[in-house]
Amino acid sequence: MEGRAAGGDYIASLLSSAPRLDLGVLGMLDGAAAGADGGDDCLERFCGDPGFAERAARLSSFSGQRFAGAGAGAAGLFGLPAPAPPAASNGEFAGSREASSVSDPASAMRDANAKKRKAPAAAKGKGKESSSQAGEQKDPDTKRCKTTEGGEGKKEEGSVKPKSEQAGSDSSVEDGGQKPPGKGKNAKPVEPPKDYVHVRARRGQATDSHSLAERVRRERISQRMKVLQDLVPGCNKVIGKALMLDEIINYVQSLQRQVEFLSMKLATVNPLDFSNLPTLLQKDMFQACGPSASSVFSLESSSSGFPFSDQGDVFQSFVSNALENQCSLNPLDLALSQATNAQYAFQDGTAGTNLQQRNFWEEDLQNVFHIDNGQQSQENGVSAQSFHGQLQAGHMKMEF
Amino acid sequence: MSSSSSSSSSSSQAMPGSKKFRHTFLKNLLRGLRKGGAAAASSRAMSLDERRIAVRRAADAALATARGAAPRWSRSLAAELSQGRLRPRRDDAQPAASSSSGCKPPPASKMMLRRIPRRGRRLIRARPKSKATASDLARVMARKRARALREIVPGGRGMDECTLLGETLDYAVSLKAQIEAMQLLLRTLIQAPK
Repeated sequence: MEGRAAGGDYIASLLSSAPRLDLGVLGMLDGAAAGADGGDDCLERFCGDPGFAERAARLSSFSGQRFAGAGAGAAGLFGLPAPAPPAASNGEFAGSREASSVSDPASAMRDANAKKRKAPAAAKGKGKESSSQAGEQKDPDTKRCKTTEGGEGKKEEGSVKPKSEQAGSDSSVEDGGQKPPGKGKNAKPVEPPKDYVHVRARRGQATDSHSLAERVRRERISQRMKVLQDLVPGCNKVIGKALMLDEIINYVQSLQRQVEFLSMKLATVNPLDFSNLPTLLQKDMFQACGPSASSVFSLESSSSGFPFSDQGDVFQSFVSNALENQCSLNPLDLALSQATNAQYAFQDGTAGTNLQQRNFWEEDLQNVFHIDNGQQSQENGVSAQSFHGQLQAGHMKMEF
Repeated sequence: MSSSSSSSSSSSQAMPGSKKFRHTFLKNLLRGLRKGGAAAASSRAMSLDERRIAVRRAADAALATARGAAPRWSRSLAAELSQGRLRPRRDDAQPAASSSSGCKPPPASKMMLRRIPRRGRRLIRARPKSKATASDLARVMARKRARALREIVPGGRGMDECTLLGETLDYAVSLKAQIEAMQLLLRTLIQAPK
């Protein structure tokens, strides 16, 4: 669970910035991508968000909360008693609200609902349910999202009354939360995030537990699809879940084929020896790396204490690195760009003395092999069966 | 709370976009290559195919270890590797290799989890097909794609669609980082004699 939460933090932080990208941004992406390579400009725009890194940094602290709450939230929604908590807001959106200066339309909408939460009557809820059931389907098609957003901006049903309004409203209700209308008021006070996930029901939607949970699930899926869309080159041109999944599948398959091909190439390298690799590096770098090699080792052994609160920096570097990865053909350029990230102190220290990109990368490779040569004598002779267990054990060893 | 959850995570946690990931991956790859006998120091004469498989497994293991135990795909990839199963790749003529290394059937829990989508599929088919509305078609198409994605992403069998997408994202980024690291290694190795 912890492992999952840890991985989920990363994704959640990536996703928490996604709500900011509404269709307008995607349209801009489309326009920008028309005249240039598809993926590169898109990621540039995506990462060119000024508040992205900041948001990601702050969100990392919320994301742990979110996952703890998501499990309880599902249970909480189902068994929630009649009086709904007044200041209900989705944990992740609360985080995004606090982090970004520009108010998230989704969160602003939820803020607006907080005031009117007590107003709507149960009868109105039932009436809306019956009207909403007609002709609404399960698929989160974006087209349908837009068409059913006719009643947006007005007051909404808020209370979560699962038992009372479960009048056969098991049929799913259209999810209008994907691209919520931007008519939310900005000046709402920030509500403290609760300990479980609160979801607002929109106008014209059922408020029973099942559809709410489904809506949460659908929103999550759509968020991830958005992030994937930005990642996979050429995916922003297609709209629709199936087509996007097609692109994603093609992309992952091509990546796997590339790995296969590269491993074949590596196998054909006949004198596969790693001893002459350090000789590629310049002598002065060799000496400069001497003291830093031990620091690399200590850094990696202490990476178990790598706190997740630093994940903001990691995301920042991840984002910029991913951006560079897509843009630059020459990985030395990447090394130079990475040199500008304040990621690891020792790297910065040695990078500052470097004048050229090539030296920086070679020093990096040098560090790798320096450690590796040192470890040649120590063979980790652990069996393959313990591989999985070793991963969990918190110590990095590689066995076969 | 997030820091407590992270402190118990494995030490090999590294985001795929970072340089540390590349460090770790290359280090693991070299160790794995030496162990797998693909390196020149090994006296055993391996055929090209054997070497390719060994390199492939070393690369997969290095990736899974470098990524850590946080994402589900890395754990399941590591488990597959330790089982000795080779992930079905472009060569389908690998029955000898995979069976001789003693591949076990997938765990029973995964079989049961696989049954769930199958049951859903059967239900859809059992309904009398009155009108193939566009939404029905879209749903079927999306299901097919999701199934295909499950086959591709390691450990995708036991995931719901939501986590599947998240894992795909992480997996794609890690693969990209792996590819770049391997390309760099190749470039360095090939340029060496010159």
